[in-house]
Amino acid sequence: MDTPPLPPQKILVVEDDQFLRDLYVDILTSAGYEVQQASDGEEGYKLIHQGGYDLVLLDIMLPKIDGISILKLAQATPPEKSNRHIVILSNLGQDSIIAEAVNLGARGYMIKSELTPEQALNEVKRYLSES
Amino acid sequence: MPDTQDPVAKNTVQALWKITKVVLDTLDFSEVTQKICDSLLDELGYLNLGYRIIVLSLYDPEKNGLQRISLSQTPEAEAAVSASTIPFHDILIPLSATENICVKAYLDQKPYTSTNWQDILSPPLTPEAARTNQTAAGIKTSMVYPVIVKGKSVGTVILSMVKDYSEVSATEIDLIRGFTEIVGISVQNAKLYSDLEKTKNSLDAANEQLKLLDKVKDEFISVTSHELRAPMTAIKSYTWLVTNDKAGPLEPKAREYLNKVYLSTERLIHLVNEMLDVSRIESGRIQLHPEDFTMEKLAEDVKDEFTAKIAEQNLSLELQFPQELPTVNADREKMHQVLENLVSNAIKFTPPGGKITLTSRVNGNFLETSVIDTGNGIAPEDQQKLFIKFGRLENSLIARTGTGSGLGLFICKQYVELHRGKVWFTSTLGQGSDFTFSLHLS
Repeated sequence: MDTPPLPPQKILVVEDDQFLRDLYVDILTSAGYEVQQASDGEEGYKLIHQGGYDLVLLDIMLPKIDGISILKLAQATPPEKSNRHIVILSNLGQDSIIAEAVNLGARGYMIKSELTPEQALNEVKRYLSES
Repeated sequence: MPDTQDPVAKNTVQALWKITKVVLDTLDFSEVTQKICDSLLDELGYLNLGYRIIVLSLYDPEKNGLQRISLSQTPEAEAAVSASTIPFHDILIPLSATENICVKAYLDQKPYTSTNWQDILSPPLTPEAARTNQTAAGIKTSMVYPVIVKGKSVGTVILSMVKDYSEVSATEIDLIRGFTEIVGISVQNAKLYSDLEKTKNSLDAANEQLKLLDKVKDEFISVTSHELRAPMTAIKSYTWLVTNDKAGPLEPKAREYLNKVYLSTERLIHLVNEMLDVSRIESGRIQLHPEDFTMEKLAEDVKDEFTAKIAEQNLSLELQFPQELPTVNADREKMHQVLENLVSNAIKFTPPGGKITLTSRVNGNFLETSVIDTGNGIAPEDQQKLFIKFGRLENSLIARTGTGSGLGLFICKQYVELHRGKVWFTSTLGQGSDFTFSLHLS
């Protein structure tokens, strides 16, 4: 008997910079993922709260609600459907903020400027392979 | 000869001591000058001897005249002030008024006496106005004494009485002389002190301003660096996509150009990161996360990063680590940055065919790690500039090729020193350099 094809994994990109958002959506869609996007913290939190993502890539500096506050909100009010991993997508290489994010439940972090699109995609695959 | 029965004579020394203490205990300028005028009358009892008004004037070099500073708080003084056509503090006797005995006392450095206030108030007052004041105050005689500091006149004291000059005793004169000397010293003291206060206050204000500017600078660098990184990441990523044929095949020339765009963007990102590091170092916002690790493993990681570059420039990079080296305890990420920077510099300054060696040894409680190259070496005149922020060297390849911010070695030094280690180097022009840093063993 044939096994039905697995549904694509769902990824949410919360990123305010339009070109970077386009970039990640582009790479991830091409790699076969189902990608949703949010351009500010408010919209991002709304989608995170609805939940059901395999991976959320969350920027720290965001309009309306910043990434750290979103993690706090998500910790205080569990999403309707749980999200597997939230990974910080940041340009801030500041250890203190990253440490805070990890304490608030982020799985890890990716520093955007240090990764080529290929490396970013590999990171995403790595996080998705983790349980 | 002083009359020993005179109650003033008995107390002259004691009185002078008392007044010295009163005026020297005070440092505020206006308080000191007020006490000078009051103490002679009150504390020394000159009121009982017929003295009524004491006025202190000081020479103002800007206005080139004697400016009224303070006067005793007595009914007679108040009457004179009320009757005056010019407010007390506005009375300025120009030094050109050589007939005025205040000017004479100041210039000749000796006392003068008058029974006519025209001699002490005119100009600026008219002779008539001066006499009106005198009548209102009921003063018979005024004596003017110069105030002298280190042989130089600084002002005058006017002592006005309701008695004749013939009634002034020798001991009174003695005490007045001593008094004017104290006035000189205390005015000088108070003036120095208030100048010092003013200087201190303006320095404090300047210091606050500088602190604020420094903070603004840090925030500016931090925010702009962050803002710069988003567009730079976009440039880097899209260029990567194009050079990796994600948008279709590229003409060779187009690929070459876009590779240059990519490398330049990488450099720009690196530069912005370095600026952020410096701003964090300078504002004390560096947090260390020490862990135990082996330097050999770190050196291997760094070597792997540079494999392509080393091959491209026809260099060799060799690791020489003795077996069983102990681990160090340090922030691995920061040390990674230090080693990376030293290797990157060695690559930059070593011509094709050259060799770079990474090696460590134990020295006491420290592990010393060296990056040794067979490169150009550093000219002696450039050696002192090495660890200075933006200390780019005149004769260096950096200057010639225009790459590098001049921040790398500064950051290395700061990071190593934050770990209580040291960085140093030896270099011979034309033969190569050896950069070494030490870290505490675990």
